[in-house]
Amino acid sequence: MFNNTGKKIDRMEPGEFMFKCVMIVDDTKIDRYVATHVIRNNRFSERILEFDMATRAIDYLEQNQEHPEMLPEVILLDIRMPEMDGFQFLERLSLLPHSVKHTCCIVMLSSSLDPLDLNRAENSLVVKKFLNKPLRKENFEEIVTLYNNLYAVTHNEKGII
Amino acid sequence: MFNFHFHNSVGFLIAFIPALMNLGIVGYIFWKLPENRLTSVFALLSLALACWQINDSITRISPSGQITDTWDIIFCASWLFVGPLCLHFALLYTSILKQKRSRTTLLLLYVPAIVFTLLYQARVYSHIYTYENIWGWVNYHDKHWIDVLQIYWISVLVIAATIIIFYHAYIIRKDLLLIKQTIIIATGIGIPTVMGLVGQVIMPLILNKPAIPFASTFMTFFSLATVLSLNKYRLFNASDTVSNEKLIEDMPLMIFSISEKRRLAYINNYTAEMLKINKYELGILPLKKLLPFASVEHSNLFFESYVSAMRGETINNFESNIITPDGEKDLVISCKPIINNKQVQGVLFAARDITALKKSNELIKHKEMLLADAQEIAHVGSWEWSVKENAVLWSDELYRIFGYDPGSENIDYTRFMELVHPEDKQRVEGIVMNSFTTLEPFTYYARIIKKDNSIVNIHARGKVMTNEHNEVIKLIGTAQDVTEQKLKEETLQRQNEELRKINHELDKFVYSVSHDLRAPLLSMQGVIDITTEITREEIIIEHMDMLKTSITRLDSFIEDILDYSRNARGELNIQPVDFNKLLKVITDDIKHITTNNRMVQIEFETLSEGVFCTDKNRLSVVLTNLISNAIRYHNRDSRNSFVKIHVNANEVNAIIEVEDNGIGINPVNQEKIFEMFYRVSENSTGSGLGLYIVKEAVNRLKGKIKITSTEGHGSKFTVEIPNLLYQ
Repeated sequence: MFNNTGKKIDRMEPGEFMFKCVMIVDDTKIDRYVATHVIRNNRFSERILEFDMATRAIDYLEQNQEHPEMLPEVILLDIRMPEMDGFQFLERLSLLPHSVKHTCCIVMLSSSLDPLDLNRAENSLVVKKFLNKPLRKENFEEIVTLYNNLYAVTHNEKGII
Repeated sequence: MFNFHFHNSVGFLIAFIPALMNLGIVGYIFWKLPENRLTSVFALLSLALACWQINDSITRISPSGQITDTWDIIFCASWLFVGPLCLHFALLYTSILKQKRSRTTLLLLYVPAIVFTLLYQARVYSHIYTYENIWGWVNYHDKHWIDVLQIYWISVLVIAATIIIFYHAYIIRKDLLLIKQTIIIATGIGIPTVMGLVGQVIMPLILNKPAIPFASTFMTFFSLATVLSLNKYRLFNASDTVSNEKLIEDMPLMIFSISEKRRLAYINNYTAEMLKINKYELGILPLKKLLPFASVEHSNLFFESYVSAMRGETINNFESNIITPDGEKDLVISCKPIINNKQVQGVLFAARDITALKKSNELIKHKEMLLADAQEIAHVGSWEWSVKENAVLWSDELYRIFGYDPGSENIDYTRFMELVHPEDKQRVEGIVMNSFTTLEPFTYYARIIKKDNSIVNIHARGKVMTNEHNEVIKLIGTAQDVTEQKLKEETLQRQNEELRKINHELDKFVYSVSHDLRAPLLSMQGVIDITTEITREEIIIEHMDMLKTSITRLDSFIEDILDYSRNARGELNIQPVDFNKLLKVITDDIKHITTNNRMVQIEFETLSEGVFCTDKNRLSVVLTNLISNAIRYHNRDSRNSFVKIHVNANEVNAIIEVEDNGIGINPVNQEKIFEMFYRVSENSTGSGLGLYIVKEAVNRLKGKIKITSTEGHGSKFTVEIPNLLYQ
């Protein structure tokens, strides 16, 4: 159950990407566009998985749970979306195997100011950060740190959780 | 005149010494004891004994029978009266004679004594004396029938007295104190009686031998017995010493009699004192003046009773009011006829003054009425449950609360439990039974099924009363009809619930709206960000900046509205606050958001003592607004703009100062800055809500805010909020 895409990032060579794969779940086209643009422009990720609906994103994760190389290292998750919102997505995610839910660094990306949303995100075990839109390149420094922390936990000396 | 010899001096002394003792007793009774019939008779008896003993002692040292006869003639009354006095004393002492003064008895007792004395002194039969060595001259009875009769008469009297006293001792044998006294006196009389019978009756009359005159000497036993009783066993104690008349005179009871001619014949001291009348005026003044009745009815009732009593009836306890110089008095009067020789001669009245009693009774009644009224007004009933008897006493109002007519049903604990709503029964029973073990007061709410099957809500309170062994003897308590309150409470609760729901929905609505307003804004911001990044054209960058400023402004306006609605509606959420941490978070956020922050130095210093509690979110809104205002309105011409935040918190309050060296505020405008939608200048980029929200939030935190500012030099906001740790 080792995630092949998982690796520790400490420096970035020119032309090299920070992450192999980042997933964006957002119903707003412009926001996905902005996020994709920021990620591309700053070479944050080699691959970007864009989903306009949380249900589709979950489907993708379920289908690829046996293929670690297909799984994203970071998920940028909007909260308020039609059909399935960000938290419902997290609930569905928690049903997936460890290899999926604990290797993805989940970052909430929202324009909500509702303290309830903030609380739920803070109390969630898998959400590593609550970010306000829009996504900026400054945010990636922190995401990298968070990802490294997660990587350190999941790949401790015994190697496997 | 006297002839002393050694042989007769012994006989003399054994009679003379007791004589002196008896004289002493007479003096003691005469001067020391209160005067009544018993003590008088006793004194006379002692005197007679003393005389008899003197007579005996003299005859023993007489030179001749002639002289002895003379002494005998002088003193004979003494020994002749000893018999009747003895019996008289016995009759009085045993209370046989106390009830009424009987002339017949007196006559029967003393007339024979007088007759015998006269016959003796008249020498109707001859007195013959013989001389004996020890006893001196002794009367030798010639057995004349009068002499014999007289001796038997004395014997019968003293024997009767002895028997009466012994019989009395038998009757009162259970009275441990009196029995000793009585036995001693009975013995004191019994010994000389027996000895006298032997020496002076049996010897001369039956055995035909010379009489032995030692009866008087043996009377010493009687003297000794009396002295013993006087000293040790309270002969003539309080009940004996108070004479009947004195008792009646001084008793705190009005005793008076009215003659058949409707005149006040007698009044006791108490009556005289109460009515303030002189006893000597009784015969002069008319009855109506002496007894001034409060009303005609009272007067009529009194005289009706008088008339009935004159017919021989006894009337008990009728009430009447008279007016005394000290005011109106309530009397309870009883009366009975005074009957003499089967004829009603008047009426004896006894009246008790019950004014004070009646007054206190009325007071009690009045208080009871007040209590009942108060219970009725407050819908509070009271109850008392005597556990052992399982008797429950309910106040009238309690019956009414339960829908019953006061007193219409005897309600014990079991019956009460039947009236409790089935759903509450078990709980109520548990609470009541629990109090039996804890002995603590209890209280409960319960539904009661009224007589008409409607439901009443009661709030009951109870208290356990114990005796000295900590055993529960009774429970007392109250029950209040709280149906009305309960209804109001329920309505209030429902409304509260609705309000809470509305509030919640409103919250949701506000956040949804703010989100939906912000989302496109932030999307625009994102697009602007990436556009700015990829272009090199100055004009585009400039335009993008302008767009960004507008977006920021709109965004912060939305945030202000959010803050406003949060502050206005939400309840205080009090929690401990670490000022240092809070300020760090706030200043970091602000640095992130504001673009031109690089020019403004933010410093803060906190002094904290103990735990400080307040609503963290509202405090955060206050600080954020004040600090961002200070940054927004910094002096663009100054090289070293700063915001200094100083916090001093202790267990009472916190004083927060936010000071800047910005553009300051004109004193004219200082009062208006806290108003809603007020903006100082056209150039202000704020919404005009910020300081209004600050003021409202500070108010909600029960604090105060003030500003000191000089235009061009800077402003200082001082916020003082209380520590809400104990609220």
